[in-house]
Amino acid sequence: MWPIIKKELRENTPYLLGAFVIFLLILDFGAFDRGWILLGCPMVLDGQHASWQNTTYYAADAGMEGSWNSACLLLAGAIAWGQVYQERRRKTWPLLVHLPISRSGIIFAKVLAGLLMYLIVCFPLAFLIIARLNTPGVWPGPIYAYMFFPLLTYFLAGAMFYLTAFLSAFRSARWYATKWLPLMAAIPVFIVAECLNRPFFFWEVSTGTPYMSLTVLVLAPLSLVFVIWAIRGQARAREY
Amino acid sequence: MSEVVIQAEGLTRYFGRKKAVDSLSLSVRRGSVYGFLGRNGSGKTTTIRMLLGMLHSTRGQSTLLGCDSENLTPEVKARVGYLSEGHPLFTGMRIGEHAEFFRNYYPTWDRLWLDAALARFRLDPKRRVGTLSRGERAQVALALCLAPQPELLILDDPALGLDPVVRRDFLESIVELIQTEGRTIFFSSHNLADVERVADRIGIIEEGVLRADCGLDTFKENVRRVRCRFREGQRPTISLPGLLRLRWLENEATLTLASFDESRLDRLRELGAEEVEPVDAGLEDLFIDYTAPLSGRV
Repeated sequence: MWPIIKKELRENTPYLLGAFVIFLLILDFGAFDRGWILLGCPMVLDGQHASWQNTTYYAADAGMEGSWNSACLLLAGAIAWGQVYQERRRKTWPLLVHLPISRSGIIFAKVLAGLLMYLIVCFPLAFLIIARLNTPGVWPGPIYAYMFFPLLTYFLAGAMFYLTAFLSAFRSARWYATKWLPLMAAIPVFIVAECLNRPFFFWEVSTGTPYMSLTVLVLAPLSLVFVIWAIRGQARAREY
Repeated sequence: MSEVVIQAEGLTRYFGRKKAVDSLSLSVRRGSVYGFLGRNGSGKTTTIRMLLGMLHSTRGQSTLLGCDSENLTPEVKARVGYLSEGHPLFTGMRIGEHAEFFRNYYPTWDRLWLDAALARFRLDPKRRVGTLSRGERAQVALALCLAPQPELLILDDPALGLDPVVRRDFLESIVELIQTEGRTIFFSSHNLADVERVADRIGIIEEGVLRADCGLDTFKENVRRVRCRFREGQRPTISLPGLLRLRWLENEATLTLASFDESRLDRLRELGAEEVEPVDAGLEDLFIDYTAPLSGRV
């Protein structure tokens, strides 16, 4: 498995560097109204965000929670699509699937490589955010570890989106038909991520439809299992 | 009788409503060099992909080294070298990195052989694949395909897009490989000169149907061109069994006949031909007549 992971990393390093820069810009763009914090400006909390922090919500909400969320999604999707379409464009699928290991082994090695690449881009950025906010004079208040919980939950939700995007790209189907369907499997995970980050949202959902929150909590791990099972099935049944 | 390494029975594949391969049955014995001929879009690549289990057959089945194509085990895949059409390689990697990558998966990988092959092709392992010419890519792909010393080699149009000099070098490499005892080569091509040079058995596929499957010499003996001259102004209707193609030039007719025998010449004489003579034709000419579009046939 390791040679395939190494090959993926070797081939995609330049793209990952590009992704890192784009991710950084998205994060800073998200923090625009509060200053380009990663690029060196100090944070100034406005009233709304100050109240969030004091009452319901924390935040590595340095105004960039939403940006982090979207950037994770974009990155995960781009890696998954890139990995599949690169092989298709170069017509190298036959070269890969003829390797003397099982097809599911080949595909899961690619998936692991993709998740690793996702981590490689996200981890330094998360580190950069934490380090920056810890710099004296940047964040106008105390820093707690829980403030960075949203980064972790959206990172994990992004990883789930990666799996669904990989499955979607890998499946032989048409866009106007069912190709995009696997992406739906990421929805329960995102709802769970939202609920974890915004308890008020969770309670609103629960109050409105009593069993909805429970359903979502059950659906999230189920959808993960389903996507992994479907990738394995596709690896065996797909034509190359 | 030698062992069968490739066996296909009634292999059929549809793409939508189009029948790409129609009830194809063939067998290739160990140690033979099988040239799989056909025009573009005739079903060569589809057949090869079905043999390798990369495409599912709509009907029929096939085996490689005794293993069902749909479920090739890693052990069997390690014994089969495959060079796919267009010599695809991982463009972001160097030649040496390719070698390192593949070496991990093949227990029989011959590093010395690969180094010698790359030296022979004057290819520096440090070069990036993206900077190679088409011919160089073909050479790298062939070298990588042969480095595990496969028992069975399946080449899908290996000389496609190569210039004559590179093509000759490439074929010499294949000839060299043939000398290894017990090795079997199955290669598709639409370049007849290549096939004539290396194959001992050929299969001709046309519109998905395998129309010939025999020894190269048998094919040349059975498919013949005959030239016959009639009297001035005479142009009789020629109807002979096995007539593939007929061309008239004034009072001279050139026929291509399948299942040729001497009785066909007598029949032409009965029709009034003053001179009848079989003429030598290369495999390429015979192949063109054999696979010409139906409209061009008699």
